[in-house]
Amino acid sequence: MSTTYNVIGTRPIRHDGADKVTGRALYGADLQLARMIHGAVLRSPHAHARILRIDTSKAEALPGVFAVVTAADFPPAPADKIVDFGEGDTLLSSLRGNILASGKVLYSGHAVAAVAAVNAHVAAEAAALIEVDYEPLPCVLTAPEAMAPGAPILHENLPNGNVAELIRYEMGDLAAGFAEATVIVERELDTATVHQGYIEPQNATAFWSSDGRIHIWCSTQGSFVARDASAAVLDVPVSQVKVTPMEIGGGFGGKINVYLEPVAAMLSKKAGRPVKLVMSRRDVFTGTGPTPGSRVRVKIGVNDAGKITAAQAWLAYEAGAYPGAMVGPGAMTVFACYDIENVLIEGFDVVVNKPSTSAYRAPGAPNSALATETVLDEIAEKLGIDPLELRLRNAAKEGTRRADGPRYKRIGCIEVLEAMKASPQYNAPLPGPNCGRGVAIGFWFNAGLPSSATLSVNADGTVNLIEGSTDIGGSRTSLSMQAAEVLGLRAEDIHPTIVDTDSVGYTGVTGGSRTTFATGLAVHDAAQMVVEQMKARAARLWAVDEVSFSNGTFSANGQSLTFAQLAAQLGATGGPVSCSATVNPKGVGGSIAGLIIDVKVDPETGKTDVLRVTSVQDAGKAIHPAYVEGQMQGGTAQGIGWALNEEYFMDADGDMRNGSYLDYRMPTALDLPMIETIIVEVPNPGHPFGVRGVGEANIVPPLAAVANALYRATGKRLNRVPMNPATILGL
Amino acid sequence: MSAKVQVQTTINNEPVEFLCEPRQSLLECLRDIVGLTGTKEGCGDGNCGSCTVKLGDRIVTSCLVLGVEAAGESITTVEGLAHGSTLHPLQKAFLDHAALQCGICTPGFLIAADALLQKHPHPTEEQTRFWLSNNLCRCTGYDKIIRAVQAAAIEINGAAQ
Amino acid sequence: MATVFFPTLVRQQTGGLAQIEVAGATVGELIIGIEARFPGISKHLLRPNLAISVDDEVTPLGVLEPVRPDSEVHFIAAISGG
Repeated sequence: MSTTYNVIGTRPIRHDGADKVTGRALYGADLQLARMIHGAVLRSPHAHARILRIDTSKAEALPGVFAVVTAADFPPAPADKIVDFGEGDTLLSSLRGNILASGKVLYSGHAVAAVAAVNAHVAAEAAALIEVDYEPLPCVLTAPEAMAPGAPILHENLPNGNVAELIRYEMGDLAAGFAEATVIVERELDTATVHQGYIEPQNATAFWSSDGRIHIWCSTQGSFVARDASAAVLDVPVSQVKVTPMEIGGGFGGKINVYLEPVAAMLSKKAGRPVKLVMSRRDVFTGTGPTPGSRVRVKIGVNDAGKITAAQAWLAYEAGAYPGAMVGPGAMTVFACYDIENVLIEGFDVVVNKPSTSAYRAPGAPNSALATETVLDEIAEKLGIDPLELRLRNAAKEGTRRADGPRYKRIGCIEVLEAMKASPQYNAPLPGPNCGRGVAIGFWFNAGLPSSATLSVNADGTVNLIEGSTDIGGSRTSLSMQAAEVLGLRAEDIHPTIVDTDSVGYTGVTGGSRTTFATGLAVHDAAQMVVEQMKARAARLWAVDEVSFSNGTFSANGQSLTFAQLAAQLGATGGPVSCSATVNPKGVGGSIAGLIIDVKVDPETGKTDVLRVTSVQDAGKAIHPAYVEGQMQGGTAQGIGWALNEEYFMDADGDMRNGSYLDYRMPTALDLPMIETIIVEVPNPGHPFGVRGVGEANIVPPLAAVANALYRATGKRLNRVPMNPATILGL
Repeated sequence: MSAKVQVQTTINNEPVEFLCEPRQSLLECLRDIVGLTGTKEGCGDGNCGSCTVKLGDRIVTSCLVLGVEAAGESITTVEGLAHGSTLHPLQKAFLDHAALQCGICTPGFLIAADALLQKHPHPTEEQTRFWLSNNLCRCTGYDKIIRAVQAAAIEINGAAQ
Repeated sequence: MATVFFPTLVRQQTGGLAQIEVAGATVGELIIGIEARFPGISKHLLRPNLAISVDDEVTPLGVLEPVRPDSEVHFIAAISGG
């Protein structure tokens, strides 16, 4: 297939670029409103405790304080009410309980009360005056401990102690498969809790008007999800809440859940003023959802030909305080890159006394891929086969059945592996002793979900794009480019605006790598409607039946008009043209990513230097290659940080001892080399331009690729992430 | 609440006076009092670099400087980099090289990089990485930021001799 | 007749049966047929956190999704992403 495009595949300047390099772009914390006051949240110092008494009287009496709220101010959540915001279902009681604790606190950092005051300093002073009597309870911090008999129980209503959900996928005959194997390797690996680490802390400003309407301004990956979740927690109809999405300073899955929005709203209701809440960095670490720590055991058997005959996985993921550890996707992706006949996968969603986890870029998949991809590396070594060759012999392709049931449509696993094999890095020698090269691949599903868009033609031949997908990494431009491609215009001729939830049709989150795919589809469909309406105008003008359109020009019977020329005549041919489309698509294309990494380990200190990295990913079709590369580089950097350094360091009482960027050590510019990228394009048949989401799959391979590189450098198979100097030196 | 202090300073080449409490950081003063919200707060303890501004002839994380310490000083924030509607070459290079994704760290990087290029007109990759290691970016993996800074160095100072 | 695959943990309700052929024009009709054979099973198939896949694609229409005689229906963990 050799489709040629005019706009797609080029690298225009992003539409919000000037605002973002000059400081004009308004992020959530930048909002200033008349009469606005500021809030602070009081958080639990205990990882597990019963709340015996909350006395807010001293806080309320402090001059400058306008309002104090606790869980008692919120409408009760019926025990079994389930809410669904298009992101999977959640118990309303869990959602509510995480926003402000009632009865028990379940992690250190759990919000207990909130204050609104004349400024943030007074609010913080007032919060410190709130008296809470706790009865501390024993806490449990890891999945294996929480699953053990006699473990402290977090929720009395779960049927299996702290196990909230069991997952099991079975295919073929496992015992027969292992009997055919000539090499069998089994390994168990642990990963620590890590955070998305977005630089902008969570924030929310709310105004509860006297007419009952609630206006919320926040940094969110999904304005409609924030609206619906806030309405559910406040028990008001969704139409009573309007969310205005501000610019968002990173999310990676962590800004889908609501934390502050309903609290700011309730404070505003009491105070009669707009209330702004902004988290501190420590609040972000201890009060928002990190991604699960995990224990994963994988056993794989292969025959002499290097064909996998059987594979077994056991996964226990830490959900944190409330169910929902992403063990489902962990289980579904653990062997997803491979064509395996005999499979057994068991997964456990385990609650522990840590912050309630949330999504983080391909949630659940890096943890499980770590085990599979390191076991395969060991098998390749035992068989004396190149590790990429072993993967190629088993690579999933169109028609391969995954253990969870469905068969793949067209996917790019083989193409990604071939690109890795042919890459400059894979064919370059390592620079010297104590160096090692590791490879790994990973899969992510990507998501569909609803999206809406409106296109309005301006008389000067440009087009306004109204959409509801918050722009985390250039999506205004990737969407505008798709409109421009259909309309025969330049990317610069499209003027995108992201609007509030009252002003555009329902649009799901900027997450699941779905925006360029799904909102792109809505934009594409709206643009095709514009073309059809414009054709009808040209037909009216020329008194013909049939008008053709290509490369931005309408023509019939030897007459022609450019898009801009016809746009100027819309008023006289029937009035303005404005078209809206809403989609809820199938046809989502999953993405395969691969990583090659060269490291050097200092044998004395155990410090790892990353020497060279190549990230490879199937983008289907890269709309804006620079921002596709950016996703690949960003996911790779996060994965390397996860592999080498990052972790929640909890003491025995469940207190996070490294809740600052000084001690929670994310990669800096000095820790990384340039990140080479190879974009593979195996078009997704489910999208008119072939788009596959690229936001997530790239974070799946790094953990395993780093582990494999460290093995080659040190001769040690490490069984714990982060593979920091202490782990490497066995301290 | 303590009595407010009057602070006279120069921000982006304009004289500015503001009233602040002694406990308020320069970052708070810039954002909440003066209204220059281009400077961002990512951590409040000097570790992310989002609030980097130029104070006199050095760069500081403005969350760790008190507003009252800015008295008599000259401050440059991201709002002061462009000349009218003409972007600073660093700003243009960040756009040309797609060096931002979410953009929250960008103001701090631009200020830090501007100071780097004044000290080292032709920084090596290593120098650039070292200088910018005070600024965290979680989106880009730094690759395109480093390339943008090096391209801007050539744009501003010509190719290295 | 369409083929419905039972999730492993639901096979307790089917006496270990992994898949079944059922007649029906939509997923909903298939489930009515299955419920007739295994009373009480539908609440294990239509529950939070399970998405419905028809012919290898998760369907936003759920039980309303049309099926063909050669369709495959799976119930898989609902996921979205980060």
